[in-house]
Amino acid sequence: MKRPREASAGLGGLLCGPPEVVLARLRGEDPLRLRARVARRLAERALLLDLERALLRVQAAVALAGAAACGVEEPEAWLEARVDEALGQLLAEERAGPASPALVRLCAPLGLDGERLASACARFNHLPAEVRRAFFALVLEGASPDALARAQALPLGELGRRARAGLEPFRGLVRAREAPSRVAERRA
Amino acid sequence: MGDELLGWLCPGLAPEEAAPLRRAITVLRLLRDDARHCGPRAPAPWPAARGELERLARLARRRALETLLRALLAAHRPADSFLELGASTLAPAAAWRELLGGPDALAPPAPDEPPAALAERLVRAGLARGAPAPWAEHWRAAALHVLAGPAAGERAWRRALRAAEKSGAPPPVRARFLAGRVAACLERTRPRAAWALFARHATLAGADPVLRRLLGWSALLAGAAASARELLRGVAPAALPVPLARFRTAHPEWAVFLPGTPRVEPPRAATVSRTQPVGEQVDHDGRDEEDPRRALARTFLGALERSEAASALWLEPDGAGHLVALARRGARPGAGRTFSAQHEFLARALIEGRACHAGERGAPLARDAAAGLALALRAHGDGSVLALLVLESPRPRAFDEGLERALAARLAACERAWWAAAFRATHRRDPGEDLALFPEAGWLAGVEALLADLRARPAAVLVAGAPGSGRRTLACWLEFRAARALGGVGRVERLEGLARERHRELARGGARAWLVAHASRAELRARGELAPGLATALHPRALRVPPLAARRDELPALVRCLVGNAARRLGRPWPSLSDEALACLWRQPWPGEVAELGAVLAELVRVAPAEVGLGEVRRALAARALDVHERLAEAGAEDLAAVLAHTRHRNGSANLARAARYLGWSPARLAARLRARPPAP
Repeated sequence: MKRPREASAGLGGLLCGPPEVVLARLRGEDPLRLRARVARRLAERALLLDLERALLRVQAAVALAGAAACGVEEPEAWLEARVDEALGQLLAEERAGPASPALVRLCAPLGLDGERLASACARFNHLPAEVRRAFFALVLEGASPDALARAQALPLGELGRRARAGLEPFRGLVRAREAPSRVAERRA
Repeated sequence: MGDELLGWLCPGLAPEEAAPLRRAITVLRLLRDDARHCGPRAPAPWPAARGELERLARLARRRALETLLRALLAAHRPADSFLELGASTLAPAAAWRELLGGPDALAPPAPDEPPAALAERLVRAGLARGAPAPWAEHWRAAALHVLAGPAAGERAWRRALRAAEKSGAPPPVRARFLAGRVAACLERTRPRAAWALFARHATLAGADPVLRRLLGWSALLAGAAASARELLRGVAPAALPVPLARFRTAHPEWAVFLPGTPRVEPPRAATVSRTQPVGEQVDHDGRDEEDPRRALARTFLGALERSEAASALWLEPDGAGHLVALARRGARPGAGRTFSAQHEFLARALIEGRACHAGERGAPLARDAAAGLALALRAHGDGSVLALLVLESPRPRAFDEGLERALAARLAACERAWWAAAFRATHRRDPGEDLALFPEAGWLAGVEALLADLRARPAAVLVAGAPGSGRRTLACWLEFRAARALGGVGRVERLEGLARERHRELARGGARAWLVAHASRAELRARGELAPGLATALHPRALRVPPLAARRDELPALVRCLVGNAARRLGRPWPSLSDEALACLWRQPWPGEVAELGAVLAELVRVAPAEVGLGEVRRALAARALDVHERLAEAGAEDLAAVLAHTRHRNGSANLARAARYLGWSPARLAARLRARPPAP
């Protein structure tokens, strides 16, 4: 994904003013290419977060901190720091908060409980980065285990261990989902 | 996910489990694809965006309130409290800046506002800004715990927990309340009651690592070692608020809970009787790798010449009559033999207080009986043994009198560094958290005289300084030294908010206490913050922590220490500071003292790359709304001495160009200044 360097050229002008005004500017044509930044960071950090929700938070965070950006020498680094800060806040909040509407919408046709999957995603997002990356590459991207192990100079067993650890929150979800039916079977 | 991959990752997965797992993974793929296709889209509706902005603003204000509450309670919390208040990413000054503006601005604290009233005002401000009820319950209980004592705290935590259970609060919230209650129980020396809480709330133990750690300690202190191991497994390690060794000495009430406590008085001197198994303990090497005493021992042994000793061992008495090997160089003295053979030899060195020549006194250290020497590092005041140095050489008569005297002198010169290392080792709150105090600093030269005075007449001593300058650390250092030099137990207390009853108690005299205050005795008396009786009963010699700007000689070491702490705390790599970056930090006035320097460095560790340059430092200062001082307007004699000492060449000669860079001056200006007023040699 291309790094949006040129986007922040007019940072000072864009971010001056009350937060509501700044937010309105940021939402229009996404002059700071925040959507691309958020998408890139989610991919880099292998996080399972709803892009729209994360973007909303990042836009709000940038609008709120806008005044502090005046005179910043390296706007790129400043913006990246705001993105990371906002993602960090979201990760801290997502355990207690409700599931994002996008996730619920995706779960409904497949007969899955959106709240439970959101809770499993929250647990996944707090796993170590190497575990998340192995899960992304093997399970979501469908990379070949052998090729990936060679590329990362890892023993195949270690790669499998990481991916397995990444899968565990979702296995727990399945177990939790299946448990009531098993209890019902036993009762029957 | 293909069957093959699923089979590899989840061997033995039942088909009825595999189907929903595949569906869940399909949803995750859709979520990822959604995030990846980041082309132009219709923005979220304006009400949603505006709502998010308002929510974030409320969160920022609540975070600022939490920072203030945390800082307020941390300032009043006793050093040996078990209550964990959490970490703030914001400095209190920045939090006040956040809250003092806007339509719903918070009034700043009045000088005479009691801490409990301020805490309540902050909690109410949080509620007014939409904070949930459990948030307020948590901070009210914490405030009671700290300001009214653990008994009141325990009652408050119990009430909060009951209310949370009734309202169906999520497990993390209930776990936080339970953690507070366990901490209060532990502070009331009721580990069994704390441990009994685990049986009633076992499911909450996994919801909060702090609770897990506290329950682990409760189990340990209640004698359930296996459960303690189980609970503490996988929890980020953290030291007890008071190290076990100090529990045995400074908290005699804990002695019954600690197996193997030999005695409850503070160790005045290391006494090793001939019957104690000195040798068996020598090979024990289980201390924390970060132990500053180990680092000191390694440095000392590393500086020994090969010609001085083929092998060397640094031993320390552990307060329970055993010797612990902290560092070793070369083959172990007495190679090929168990160390118990040297039991008599080492015990004699300790008890008789003199060097022992092994080869000459019939206690051979090596198989070929060449030569051995043991020297003791003794405390200057009472002569107690602090450490032992055991040397061995294959050359017969290698340790002549000259070499022995030189080694003894070198060892004696380590005493101050040893005290500093021992203090850091015993007072670290968390593993790897080093204390930003350098007892070798010149402004601490009066400590020994003060201790001598206290020996004659115990009294309360005022430790004054600006907030964040390290007053409490200094007070802890004084108590640490006093406990070893004078025996007995003193208390470190904060004068602000100290109960009048305690004022009267201290005014009666006879007890050692260190009163941490923000102003001098005269100022405190004028403001009525010091009861008249106490004002006269205080020790006449007060200690004042100078502002950081007046002790720039400590700044490079402080920076190293604080960067290390921040890196360990945040789990980030330890960045290296360029000379320009350090120079910039060196010349700032630091109105917020060491605390502010620490916050700036933590910010640098959090966001900066591996090599921190001038730009990063400027940004970190600007982020905290601090003016960046590009040059020092005027340098005092201390500043000049400090900068010349720090920047000198390796051969010891002055490096004027580098020193001028630190000051932000031109080399010509510095040279002129030195010519006009040369610093004292």
